[in-house]
Formats: sequence, C-alpha cells, structure tokens
Amino acid sequence: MTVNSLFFLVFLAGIYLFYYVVFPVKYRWLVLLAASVIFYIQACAASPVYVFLSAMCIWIAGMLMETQEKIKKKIILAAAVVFNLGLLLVLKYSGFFTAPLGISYYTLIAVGYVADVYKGKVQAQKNPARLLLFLMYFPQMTQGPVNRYQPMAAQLYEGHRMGYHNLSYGCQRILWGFFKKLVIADNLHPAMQSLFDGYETLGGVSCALACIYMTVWMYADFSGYMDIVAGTSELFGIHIAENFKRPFFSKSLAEYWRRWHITLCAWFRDYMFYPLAISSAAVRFGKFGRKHFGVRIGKLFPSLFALLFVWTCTGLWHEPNWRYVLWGAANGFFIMGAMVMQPYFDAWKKAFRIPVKSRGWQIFCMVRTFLLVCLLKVFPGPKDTAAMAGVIRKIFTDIRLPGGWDEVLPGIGKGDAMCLGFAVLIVFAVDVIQEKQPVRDLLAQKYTLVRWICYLGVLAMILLFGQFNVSMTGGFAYAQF
Amino acid sequence: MEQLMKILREIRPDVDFEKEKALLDDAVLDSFDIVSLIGEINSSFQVDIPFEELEPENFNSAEDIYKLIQRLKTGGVK
Repeated sequence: MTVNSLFFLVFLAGIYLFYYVVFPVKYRWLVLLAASVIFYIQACAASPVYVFLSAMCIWIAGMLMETQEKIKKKIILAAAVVFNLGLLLVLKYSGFFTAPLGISYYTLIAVGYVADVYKGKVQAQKNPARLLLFLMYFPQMTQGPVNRYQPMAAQLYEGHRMGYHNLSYGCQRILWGFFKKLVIADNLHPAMQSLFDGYETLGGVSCALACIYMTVWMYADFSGYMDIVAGTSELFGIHIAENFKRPFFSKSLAEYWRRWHITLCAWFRDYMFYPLAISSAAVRFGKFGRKHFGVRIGKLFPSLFALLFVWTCTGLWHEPNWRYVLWGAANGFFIMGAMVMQPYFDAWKKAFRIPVKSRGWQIFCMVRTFLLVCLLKVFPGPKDTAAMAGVIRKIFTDIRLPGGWDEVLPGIGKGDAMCLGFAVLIVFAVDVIQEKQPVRDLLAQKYTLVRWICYLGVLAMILLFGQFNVSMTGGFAYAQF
Repeated sequence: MEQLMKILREIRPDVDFEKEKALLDDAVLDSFDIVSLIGEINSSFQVDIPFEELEPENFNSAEDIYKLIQRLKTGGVK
C-alpha cells in the first residue's frame, strides 16, 4: 500500500470512520496506532520488529534518563544513539539485510526524541504504546517528515473531534499532492531518465535540461508526497511539520537549504551541526583558523569543521556512494564560498551601483540559485560516477542545441508537453500566492462555485493526464532512502 | 552588556539587536552566526556554552543571551 494508491484512500476512509465514529475521544490515539501498524506491515516487505526495537530502546532510555544525574544521562543517551544508528547502519549499509521502509526517517526521529529528553526539552513518555505511535505514525513513515516529539505528542494523544474545516482542508491538500505527483512528477520522470541514460549521444543543452527536469521532478514528487501525508494527518486534526517552503524562491543556496527538506536539515543542524561546531575540537580548529587566516575567515572554521561531517553524513544518508559525497561537498563549497566572498560581493555591488532591494535584482538572485540547484543535480542524477563525469563534461564542453524533440522531452508528445508545462505553471502560480498568504484560506473566501471549479479542474487534470502506475514505494523519490 | 552588543554587531551589522526579540524563532541569525557567536562569547566571557543551552529562549534577544552568560558565569542551571 502506498499513499498514492486507491487502496490507501479506502484505508483512509476506514480509519476516519473508526477514529471519529467508533472510538470515544480518549481512545482515538489507539486507532492511529493500529492503523500505523497495519500500514507499516502492508507498505513494508520487512517485519516491523526493527521499529518495535527502536521504540523499546528509546522508551527505556527516556525512562532511565528521567531519574539519573547528568553524567549517567549522557551515557544512556550515547547508548541509545549508538543502538539506533547501529541498527540503521547494519540494516541499510551492510548489504546482508533488506532495509525496512522508512528506517532512515524513524531512526532520526528516535534519536531526536532521546536527545530532547536528555536536554530536558521534553518529558519522557511513560507509555510505550504511545511512544510507538509517535515513532511509527503512518503519514510520516515512508518519507518523513522528521517530526519532533514536542509539537507532535499532544496532538497525537489528545483525540480530536470531527470537523468540516479539517476534512475540507485535508482533502484539498491531498488532492493537490496527487496533482503534483501524478500529473507532473510521474509524467516528467521518464523523459528525465531517458536523457540521463542516453547522455553519450546528446549535447550539453540536453544534459542541462535533464538536470532542470530532475529539479522540477524532485520538487513535484517530494512536496507532492508531503502534501498527501500532511493532508491525511490534517483529517485527524494533527498538523505534521512542514518540509517545504517554496524553495525555488530562495535567493541563495544557504536559504534554499532552509526551505527544502526542512525537517531533515533542521535535524542535522540541531543534533549534529551545533554539537560538533561548539565542541572543543571545533573551538581549537577555530583558533587555528584565526591565527593563520585572520578573524573574518577564521571564525568560519568551527562551522567548516562541523559541515565536513554534516554534509558527508547527509550524502551517505541518501546513499553510500561517491556521487553523494561529492554532491555534499559541492553544496558545502558554494555555501561556504559565498560566506567568505560576501564582503567582496558587497563591494562589487556597491561599485556597480546595483539596486540590491529592487525586484529585478531579487528575481535575478532567485533564478541564479535555481540554476545552481539544477546544476548540482549532475551528481545524483546520472546512474553512476562515470556517467556523472560524462554529463558534467557534456554540459561544459559540448555546447550544442538539441537535435530534435527527442532530445528535448523524449517520450512526451508536444500536446502532452503543453499540458505538463501548464501544470508546472499552475504549481508556480500557487506557490507565488502561497508566499504571500495561505492559498486554502484565500480559496475559502471565494464563492462555492469558484471553489468547486478549482477542485474539479485539478481533479480533471489528474484523471486526464495523471500516471497511475504505482510501484512498491509508489515511485516516490525519497522512499528509497 | 556593551561587550555583548559589540560582538553581536560585529557578527551581524545589519541587525538591530536593541529591538529584535526573535533572533532564532524568525531565523534572523543563521546557524553560522550562532556558531560564531558562541565561539566569541566563550572566549570573551570565559564561559563554556554547552549543547543543552542551544535553545531559542536563550538566543532570541540580546537580553536572553546576556542572561544566559550571567547564569553560566555564576554556575547556575536551568
């Protein structure tokens, strides 16, 4: 069962009925727990025993930490982190086991929980079944978001009452997610794959187009999935963490990473970057930097020290492959480079009298960042490291226009390409509006007829142009991680 | 407090630290700023800000940061 299947919608209707009609408010969280276990067993070929083990481990660790003094708490925290990450490493990277679906996500959620209990930020959950629900809550199970205990716990356990607002907003968001996934992502993916696979015979422009398609595809695929699961959760009155904040409106790569896969980046920032960057080793590295490179550059050294670990781990978290390590390094290079060069850029802007607050300059910065993000897709896009090197070479040395339509959008007719382009434009327009105010609030102020024209228009596009070939993971890009 | 304001202005001259009350919550300071700030505070005030104190309530305003420094200097806990 995947979240973009008809079976999931039927399953969802069943849970909705049990949650609001059959069970009293006090025990409604049990419906979510049962639904989560059923969803996991259905969606995942592997046994749920590993997620039970993780839940048991963090429950015991949390309970023990509540009663111990600081040094013992630190030992318990370290043991729980090693156990959970160890399980992830063995199951995902050893090659001997089939990694259970969602392990990369629920492991981070588990580690985040024990770290928060250690910091005293949250109280340990005494009921293991409730903690199990937090860890394996079905909307977050396949691809995140990497939720935190504090905002989630109360929402999960309190029990909600049926309401028109949640039902309406939840369904709207699910519909929007289906639109992005089925109309844009699943139609664009074969064309992108075909260009990457056949890069040897193509020119640089076609290779660059593949990178642009991959950027659009990943956004439609991943944010579409997030819309589906956020809408699903909203049906039960539970608001999960947002993972996207219109990333293509970012004016720098650093800002892009604050708007893309927000919960994963925030996890790495809070539980890895900060502890490493303020560790004694990082402070020593910082002193070394100040001594040899001056104060301005030297003060970046602790961050650089932590970033080396963070970006390597982020890369390896995606896949244990050199391409991902290089991808991480390239991101780090551009972000740190921009910080080091900032004073020079500011001086140039002043010398050339660039109106940095003008709309034109802001748009230029957004387009520049978007193209840079696209360019960085040369690392994860091609099928292996050799193909990656080939695509990079093509983009920079073989600059020629596509020889025909097959080198622009292979496998997609011109009519379908128009529809695809129209769908992308709709998503862009909605994002522009959402940047100013919540689109669903705006829609709620319109006449019923206008609202239903919008819903039915989106539904019609899904039914007419959507792809309904559902694989094991629903073809979602991030489910493989 | 003056010493802290000087450090803050050096790290981010574009921010009005007298008025700003949501430095972390509104992402006025990014993670690099925070790391630089902690490094500066540790060396200037002879304190050691631990990982557990990295919370918005300790870094949302200049006063919050100042209170944190004072608490750490006197060996106080949360």
